[in-house]
Amino acid sequence: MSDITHKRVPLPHINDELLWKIFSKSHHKTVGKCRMLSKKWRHKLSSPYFVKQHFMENKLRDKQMIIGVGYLPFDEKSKWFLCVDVASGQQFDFNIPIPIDNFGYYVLIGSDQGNICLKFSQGGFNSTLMILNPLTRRMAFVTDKARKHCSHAVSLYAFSYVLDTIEYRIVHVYKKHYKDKVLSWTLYNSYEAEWTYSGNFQTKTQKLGPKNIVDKGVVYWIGWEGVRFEEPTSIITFSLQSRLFSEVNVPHEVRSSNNSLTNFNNGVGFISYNNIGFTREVVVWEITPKANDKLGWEKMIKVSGIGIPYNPTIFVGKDIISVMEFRGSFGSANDSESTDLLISRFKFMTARRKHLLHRNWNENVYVKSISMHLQGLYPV
Amino acid sequence: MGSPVKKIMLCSSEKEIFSVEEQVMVQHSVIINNMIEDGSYNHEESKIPLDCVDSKTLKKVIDYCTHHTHHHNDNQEDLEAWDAQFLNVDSNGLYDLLMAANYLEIRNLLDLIYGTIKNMIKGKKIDEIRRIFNIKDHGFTPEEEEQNRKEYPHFY
Repeated sequence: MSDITHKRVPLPHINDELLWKIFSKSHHKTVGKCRMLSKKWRHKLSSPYFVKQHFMENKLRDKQMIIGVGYLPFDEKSKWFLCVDVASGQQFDFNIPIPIDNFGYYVLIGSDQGNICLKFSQGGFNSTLMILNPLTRRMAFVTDKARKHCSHAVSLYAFSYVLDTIEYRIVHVYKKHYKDKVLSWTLYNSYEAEWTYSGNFQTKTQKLGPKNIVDKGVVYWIGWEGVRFEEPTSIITFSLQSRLFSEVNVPHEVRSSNNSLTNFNNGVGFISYNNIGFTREVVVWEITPKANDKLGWEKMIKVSGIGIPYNPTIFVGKDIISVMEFRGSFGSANDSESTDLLISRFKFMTARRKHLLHRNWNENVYVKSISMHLQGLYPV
Repeated sequence: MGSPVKKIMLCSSEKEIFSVEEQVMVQHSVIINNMIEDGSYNHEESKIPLDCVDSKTLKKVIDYCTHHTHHHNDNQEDLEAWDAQFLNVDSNGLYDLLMAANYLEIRNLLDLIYGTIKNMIKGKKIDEIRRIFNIKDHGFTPEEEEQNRKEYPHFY
């Protein structure tokens, strides 16, 4: 062989500690492959300790965004997903191993530590929850508790890992009528693979969510009141670890005509939108948990510009990733329908916009969900 | 001004003595930094014995630390080019450097070497990685090995 370089020659024996360090910095695909190296390494590279360390080492790269796309009139039900690399705009295949037909749907509940929680139905009412690792293609299934709560005013899910463990939990919260003062919940944990705990929480809030943000094992929802539930009155949190709810009032100065929650600076951000003439002003308030179930509100970013959509939008560090849909149709002919999807990065510091991805459909489609996703090797 | 640059003595496994600016080693090596800070190094008479680092490797390590101390303001591309040139060694040399960097806890150099080794195994077949890391006994039974090969043919 002519292409023998020094790199083909074996290294003298490197001790396991150093190899461990090299593997924990390696790409997931390399790790997957190296699990075949020997029985010892298969065991070591599959251990919870390694998986956690590998996720920490690789946290800063390969940020992806999963966008659920579907049709009207279903609220959050998607037909398929787009997966986009946040840094480069490169598009990835994201196929869910279980296909659905025309009557089926997927709902993306959340993504944490490289695993995704979905609800899917292959048609009819027999929906199921699925935990999927898109990298290893491993799946686990969980009974859908919300099946019994259709036509409830509030019926929501949230998914997250318990801090520093490889155990994940799913919470389902529900109440029948908006006027009900009691919010019921039930909790699944992957350790026992069972819906184990349930309980009630007294609340003043009428409507909850639907969007949630999970940070450090705590789920955040906005509680809404008012005639059309447009007034964000409270932040409701649920800790998946301690199974405790809290309800905190939203200060009057942060409320505006349109509000939502976002991941922000390794924490949670509350977004207020204000329309001033043609420009839209976006203010992000960082929410930090304080003692006695209180929240700290700190004004972090103020951006104004033309063409910033309300939602769906996410913040990555200090950049805004915005997803814009344009639907055009002329007359009533079906073949003139079209949808353009534009994903762009709005750099806050330079106020410059960079387009990441453009997709076009010859039909009317709608963005149903956006989630941040980091690849990882956690078991499902 | 006027005070001479403080030097420390490093002694390789061949008992060859290298004199290096103290600042250079303190900045890069956690171990030497600790030795200087807790006062176990005496500037007048003691030298630091590095019994598991040979002269050739020690010279390279000192080169690395010196360059990165004096050129840390250079632009990124120049530094990377220098690093690439620096690591253009055979695999025994790379191994020696890795061991020395690990022993002296020179974080930047370790990361640099990890990166190189990562690239060495990237896209390689399993048998090749086994050879690179000198894994002779994989511990799988012939049936298990067969099963792995069947399940992931593109790895082999």
